[in-house]
Amino acid sequence: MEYNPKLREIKTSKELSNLDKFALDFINIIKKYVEYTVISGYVSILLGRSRVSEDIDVYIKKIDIQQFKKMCQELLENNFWCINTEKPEEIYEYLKDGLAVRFAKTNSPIPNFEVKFPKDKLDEQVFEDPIKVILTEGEIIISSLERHVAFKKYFLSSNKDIEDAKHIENLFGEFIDYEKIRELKDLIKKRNEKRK
Amino acid sequence: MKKENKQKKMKPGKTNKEDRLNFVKYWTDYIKEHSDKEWSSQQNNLINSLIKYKK
Repeated sequence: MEYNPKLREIKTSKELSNLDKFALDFINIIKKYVEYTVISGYVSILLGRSRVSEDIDVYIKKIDIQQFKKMCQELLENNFWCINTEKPEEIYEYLKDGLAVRFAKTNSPIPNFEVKFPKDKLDEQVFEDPIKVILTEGEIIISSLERHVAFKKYFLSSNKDIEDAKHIENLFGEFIDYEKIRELKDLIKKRNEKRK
Repeated sequence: MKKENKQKKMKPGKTNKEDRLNFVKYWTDYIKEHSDKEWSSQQNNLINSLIKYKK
């Protein structure tokens, strides 16, 4: 696994797991309609972490309803369904209300994609500095390593999340900008205080 | 005479939390020292036993 910080690319010839194959099938559809960034646990798993997750978290940029409906139609044609509702208008409303919706393969709720719109500026920043992971059978856009580590350590903070962050720090520590992590830590802290 | 197992050893942690973090370190060292195919094959034993997927 090689990280090129200038190109913001990680190349790996890893054998794809069933979770990676599921991720690529979903992403190869949605990327035609919307900009996306995968965040949280699956980022660590994609990069080798020795654990499993039943869901993959992804932010998509806010798009109009017509474009969203087209995306839902292609997902449906490829046997993906939304666990929350069948109507694209309702899925869209949930997202607009700041809720997450889940997509899975028909008759198989696990694994699933947890899709959400960014809620604020801090969320929106995931689209500003993403990294492209180049696999043998496709590409996946993930959040920056700094953002991943900061949110795992200072926002989510469970033992599992700390381990997810450590995994990334152990593998890519020499490339990680710890000043950036400190800045993100402050922004996360301020947002948490605002939300109280 | 018993053959020495030359595989890298992991220091046990004093608490469950420390032990788990020691294993995270042990596993990331394994990733660095082995080819992508080798470590991912190990990882897939775990993931594919729990996550089934058909196109």
